[in-house]
Amino acid sequence: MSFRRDKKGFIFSLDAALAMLVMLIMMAGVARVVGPELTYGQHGYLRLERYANDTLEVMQLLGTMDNIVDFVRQGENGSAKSLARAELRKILPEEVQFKFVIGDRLTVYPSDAAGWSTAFSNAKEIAVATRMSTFSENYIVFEPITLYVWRGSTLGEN
Amino acid sequence: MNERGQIFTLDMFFALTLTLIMVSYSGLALEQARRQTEEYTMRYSLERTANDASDVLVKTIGRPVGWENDITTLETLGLAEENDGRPVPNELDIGKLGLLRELCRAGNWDPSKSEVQAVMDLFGGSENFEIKLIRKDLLWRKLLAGLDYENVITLFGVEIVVDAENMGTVIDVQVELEWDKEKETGAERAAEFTLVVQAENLSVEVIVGGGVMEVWSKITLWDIWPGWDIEDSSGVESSFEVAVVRRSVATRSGTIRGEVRSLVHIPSPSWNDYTLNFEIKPGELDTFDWYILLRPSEKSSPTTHIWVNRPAGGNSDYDFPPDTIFSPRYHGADDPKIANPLVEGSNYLTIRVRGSKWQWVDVYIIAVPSCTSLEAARLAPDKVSATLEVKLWW
Repeated sequence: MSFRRDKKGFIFSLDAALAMLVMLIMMAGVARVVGPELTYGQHGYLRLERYANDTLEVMQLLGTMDNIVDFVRQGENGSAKSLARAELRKILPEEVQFKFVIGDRLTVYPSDAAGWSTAFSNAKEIAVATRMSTFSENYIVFEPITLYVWRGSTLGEN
Repeated sequence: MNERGQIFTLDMFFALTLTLIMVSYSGLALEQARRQTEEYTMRYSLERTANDASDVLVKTIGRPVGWENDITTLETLGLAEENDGRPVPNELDIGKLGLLRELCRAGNWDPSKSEVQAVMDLFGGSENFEIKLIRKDLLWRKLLAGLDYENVITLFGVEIVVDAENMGTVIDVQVELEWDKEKETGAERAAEFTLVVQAENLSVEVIVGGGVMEVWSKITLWDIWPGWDIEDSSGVESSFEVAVVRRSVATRSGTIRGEVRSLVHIPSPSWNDYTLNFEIKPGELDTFDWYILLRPSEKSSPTTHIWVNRPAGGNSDYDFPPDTIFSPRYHGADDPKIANPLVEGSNYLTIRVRGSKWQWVDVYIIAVPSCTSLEAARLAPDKVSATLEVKLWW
């Protein structure tokens, strides 16, 4: 096609297309600059963090933490697990799931379902709180007590 | 031929149209950006205020130290327990919450008062706030295999009846809540489900799934907002912008204002009786309900006699057995059965214990915000976990 033969029409060059694209991106960017997700992003994580810290603090105040650690010291991991699970489910809201870990001695999820490890790995946002405890074997060992929390739905037991 | 004039080609028309569209869209985009920034700022401020307020409530004792002795001195509200002038973070002083509840009564809520202003300042100068204290508890957990279960429990004046049966492919559950001649029921029959039944400030949730049935109770211990005593609701449901912050706390359902533990029978001839002294501050007689709670080592012993504000002699005011809880002052009125009622200032109990030397009794003076369920007083010596929920709205 020749522009000489037919002089009527529009020229829409690649430059113009790119310019329009840039304009559209800029406009979309301006419109999205402060969406509601930004507010959640800032406060949602803060809340998760506080859930984690508050929970360990409350468990300490109620004496539950000492009882769990005592069970672990005595090798009664089943009792420690039941107590930790019951207390954490009582304290944390339903929509918040958890992984409670004492060193490599104890790991507790909200239920005995198989998918918790995957759910934990796939969680988008995880908040963590930690305390220290001592265990005496041949010598004193410091073990971290860590609580991970994230938002998610519960999994049934098998 | 006249060569003067304007050329307005189709190209130019399109160019102008495009320019106008671009300009108007830019204007719209800017307006949208401005509006969103404004909304974001408002939302951010609301969230921030609610988060900060909840943090101050659960982590600090308030200012000045001891404001709970005279609420008119209140500068900054804080509800944490105090230990040697320092806060115990996340441990809520239920007495302070009771004082806040009193301050929020319609008759006491006057924004011209400095203490009311101090509370409003915590919420960004707003009266649109609500504070709830919620307790969640696992009542029963049963395996679904061979399930045929019925149980009854009374919590805070509500009788809860749960009847569950495994029918093979489905689980049949019926829940009945009964209180003050009112009744609420719920039923469900499926393989997996969640059933919620609500009664006033208590809800029962039955979760069936994963091979187990769990029955949870959730009770609102306190629900406070300005004018809670005359309005049915805080008005939060009619607002579009609400920030809700939940903090986990350890608390008691009442304050212990005096206690003596492990009282045993001291044999005659000394006939030694025990004395428990306690103070009631000005205004507290009507702000709180006052209870005497006994926790004996056995179901009906040791025998315990109590005289209120008088030495032992003549008929005692209260006796155990059968009762373990007594209310010398409830709902702003003295118990007509006792000779010397409680007074503001110094009070005392004379306690006589009779039993074997292996039997003992603990005696507590409990104060709970007025018109509270008897159960709150009964559970007061035990620290429990709860959720403090702060709602703030524009």
